[in-house]
Amino acid sequence: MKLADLVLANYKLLYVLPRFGIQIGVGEKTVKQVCEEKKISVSLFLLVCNVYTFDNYSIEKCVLNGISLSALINYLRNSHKEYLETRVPKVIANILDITKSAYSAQFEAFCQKYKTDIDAHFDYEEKVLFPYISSLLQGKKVLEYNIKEFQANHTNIEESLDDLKNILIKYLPQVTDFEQKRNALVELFMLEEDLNKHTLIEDKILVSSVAFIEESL
Amino acid sequence: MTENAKRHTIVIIEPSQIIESGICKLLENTEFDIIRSFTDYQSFNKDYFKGISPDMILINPTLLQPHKQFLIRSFFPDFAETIFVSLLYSYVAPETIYGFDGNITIYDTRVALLKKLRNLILPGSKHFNDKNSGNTKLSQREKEILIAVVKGLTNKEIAETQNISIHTVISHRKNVTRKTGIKTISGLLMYALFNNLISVEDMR
Ligand SMILES: [Fe+2]
Ligand SMILES: [Fe+2]
Repeated sequence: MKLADLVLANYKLLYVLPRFGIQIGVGEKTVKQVCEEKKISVSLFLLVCNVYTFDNYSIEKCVLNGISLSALINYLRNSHKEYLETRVPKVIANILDITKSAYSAQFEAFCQKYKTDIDAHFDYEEKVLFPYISSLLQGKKVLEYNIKEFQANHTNIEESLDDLKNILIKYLPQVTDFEQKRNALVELFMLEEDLNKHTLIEDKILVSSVAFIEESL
Repeated sequence: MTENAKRHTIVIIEPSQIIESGICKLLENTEFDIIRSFTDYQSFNKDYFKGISPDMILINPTLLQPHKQFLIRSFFPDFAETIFVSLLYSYVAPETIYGFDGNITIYDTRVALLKKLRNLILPGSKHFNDKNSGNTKLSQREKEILIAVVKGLTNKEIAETQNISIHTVISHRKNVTRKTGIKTISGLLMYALFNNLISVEDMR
């Protein structure tokens, strides 16, 4: 399969590619060629693309066993970085722009709280979960922590974005510039969808793979 | 691999235990979960918690008032999103099942049954319509509880000030979320402001 065909089939992959260090503009090159050049696991790359493209994509156990967890963690870290540095600030700036005329201080507080929540969420994953997995990969068993604990406390970071959509669509006064409002909403929808897939990758791929290693140690 | 696939909830309303058990058996180990069964409409209406809509309701249309079955959705005002499937024993006049989203008969094979149910839940089989979305107006009690929630009171505190049980508070909160579509406290605060239930001054 050509790399271009993936993007032609699902433009949302335009957000996924850079997290793997892949750029478009590679002509007729196949996925395999591009991945080999960049030293990326083809199976992990395709797995993520499939999750992003097909709802209900079912992940076979045998595929999970073949993926590199450290590569997956690397992908997740890159995603966090992108969300925090680019997309979340962009979405928040948009929201503040369109809510200048209505409860601007409250929207600001809402967005501030969201930023704090998402910071804490990613921070926990990067400072507790990922290091735990790395030590597992080195064959060390950490007794105080296991993946079930992560699973039980893994919060839903999309919920408040969903509420925000709901409020903006239903109640934001019509005086606001429609085009600006629409663009802000479209980006909000895209971010929420992307975060949904991110969470799915953590809940399904990461958790199952780690559980498998824990059992075998 | 049904393990990772999305699951769908079903409620059956059917008087015959043989038929009901038969359907349960046929749907074992599939993506469909039968969450409750009732023998008639009255017991469903009385006992089913309306806060959670099942994805599908399979109902024997003869259980509803004769000649009024075509108003199927009017019997279930709280379930605008649910797919209604009639459960038939024999040929019936087409107007009897008018308004249902689909039908199954007791002569369907397991394969045919699954095919019908799966087709009904495909996103493409749903379309925008002008059916009303049920009651979304908040009651006075629900408004009071919503205000208390956004002011930061706990369920226990709300129960005490309103003189109701914590259980009732929780069920009102669920109704507020169902009617408004808003789940977080920060979201409810914005809802309350835009609907003039509280003012910015109240929040200080
Ligand atoms: Fe994450
Ligand atoms: Fe997460």
